[in-house]
Amino acid sequence: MSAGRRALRGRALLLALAAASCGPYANVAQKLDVTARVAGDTWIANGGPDEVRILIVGKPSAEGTAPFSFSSVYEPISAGTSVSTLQGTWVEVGTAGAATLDVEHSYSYPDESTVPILQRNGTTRSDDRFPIQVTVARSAGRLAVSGDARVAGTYVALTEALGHLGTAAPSDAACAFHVANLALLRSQGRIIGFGGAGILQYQQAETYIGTVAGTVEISMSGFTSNTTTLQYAGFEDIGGVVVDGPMKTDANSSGDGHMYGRMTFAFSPIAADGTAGTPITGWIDYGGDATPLGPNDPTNAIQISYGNPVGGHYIVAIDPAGVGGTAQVGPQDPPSPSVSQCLALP
Amino acid sequence: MIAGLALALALASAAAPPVDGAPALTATSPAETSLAQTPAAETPPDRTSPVATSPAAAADADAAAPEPEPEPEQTVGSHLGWRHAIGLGPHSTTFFSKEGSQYTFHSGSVGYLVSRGARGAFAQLFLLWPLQARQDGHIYATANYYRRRSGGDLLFGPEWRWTYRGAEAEAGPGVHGTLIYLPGKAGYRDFSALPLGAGIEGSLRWETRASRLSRAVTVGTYASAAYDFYDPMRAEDLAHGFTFRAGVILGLGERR
Repeated sequence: MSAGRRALRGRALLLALAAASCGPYANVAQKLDVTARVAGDTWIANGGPDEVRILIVGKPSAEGTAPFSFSSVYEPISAGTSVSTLQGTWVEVGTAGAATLDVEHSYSYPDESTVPILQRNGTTRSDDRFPIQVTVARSAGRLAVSGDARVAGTYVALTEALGHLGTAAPSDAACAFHVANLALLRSQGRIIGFGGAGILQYQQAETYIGTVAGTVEISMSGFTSNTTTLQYAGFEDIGGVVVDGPMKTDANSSGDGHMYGRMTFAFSPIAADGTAGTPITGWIDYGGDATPLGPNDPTNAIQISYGNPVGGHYIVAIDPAGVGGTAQVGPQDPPSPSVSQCLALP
Repeated sequence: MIAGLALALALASAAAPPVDGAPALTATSPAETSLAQTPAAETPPDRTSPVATSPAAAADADAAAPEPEPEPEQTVGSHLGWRHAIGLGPHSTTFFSKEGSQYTFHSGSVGYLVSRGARGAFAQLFLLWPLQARQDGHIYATANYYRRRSGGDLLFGPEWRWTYRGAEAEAGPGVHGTLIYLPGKAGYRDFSALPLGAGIEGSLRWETRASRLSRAVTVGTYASAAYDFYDPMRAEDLAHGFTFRAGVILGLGERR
């Protein structure tokens, strides 16, 4: 091996050690993915300004227990900024609505856009258990949760809410992006190290499962100039919203680069009476490629600076081509319309 | 136990015949040689003894006297020059995070120890093979979770040498660092740590009769302890920690 290559490998190793070690110490023998599949209902609520809350509760067992997953997603800008997620067991005994959420895993994907890139923690997970006491009240298509501000809200069934989405207007395409992005943000909020220097862990590809179905594989190649790939396959992290395809980011060690890759989405609305609505499908391109609706324009790709999406556009199109709505969504633009407006959340 | 093993090795080596025709060890320091020979050569006769009043009787007495005990061989020289050794032994590091966890890693280690001068400097570099990890009371066999287990330990600083019970002793304070690098197996998260701090080292060396590269072959034991307080990669999370290591050494001592 030449001296130059040895030096390069040495720098790469030092960078890997340095970068992979940023943030708090990892837990010893920490499993990367501990997600339990939840086969049940997905509920969604307006959590306040810029916040959407998602609650997935499985079918209860004879003892009244069910797996659950809860996320609080902040989208003051279209790219989204932070996600916190709880996973555990929902215990509801009796008919009075008293329920205990036994939290087994809590995730944090904080907004670190102003933190130096090598000092970012990215997504972290704590496996410390704790309970949350809530009171739930069910009515037609709604689930009112009270008793703990962290999860409280008036939730509606997501599959019913999807019925509010249109398909023809540009605003419909923007809504499609924001709804699909909820699933993507939730997945990134469970990938340990995502958004921080710890992402170098994924020089060895790892697979995370979707809460409802499918998988996402994260892999990374290169050190000083690297490519991060999120490959979604039938990924359904919130019931009724499925995403597929690659999302790629090329960046240097300073976090400067661009995104590319085209993902597809499929929404499956279900009416309150259980009737399946018309599926809504389409795609999101991260690399400025509007084909067949427009030219491939790499300069319109999502630009990454200092690890943050700062320029370019997500190009969104609803099928069929030429009929469905299209939109260009800027990553730093406030969602317009917001998710709550798109889904008519109370 | 390790020190005892080292001592047994040293004694066994000292009892063995010279290797490769090497001469038996003698003091190489002129001062020590002189001190060793002075008592036998310059002890005056006891003039008050009645047996010694006659020259003939004195001669008989001299003839009847038992052979004087041979002087013990000196195994320690001037403490000058280089000392090189390979060390082998256990290594343990434990540290506390500001998030409230205690991490402990027990490793096998093999290393290179070098020092120079009676008042000089030392450096000790060890490669680690982490075998067991602990966190907050839970115990993990690292082989089950990590695809590669590696690490290093470095301690360097000033040192002093002196003679201690026939051995050459060395001790000194220094700057210390331990690296633990454990890339995870599929499905597990990587772990790494680089606690830095200050420590002290000590070692005992016995020269054997063997020589290599014109130097005395030495056996001995080493130990060190360190207090770690800064992890440049996780400056926000390391509270403090301790590192201990000990083992046996085989090396090259004074030039012959």
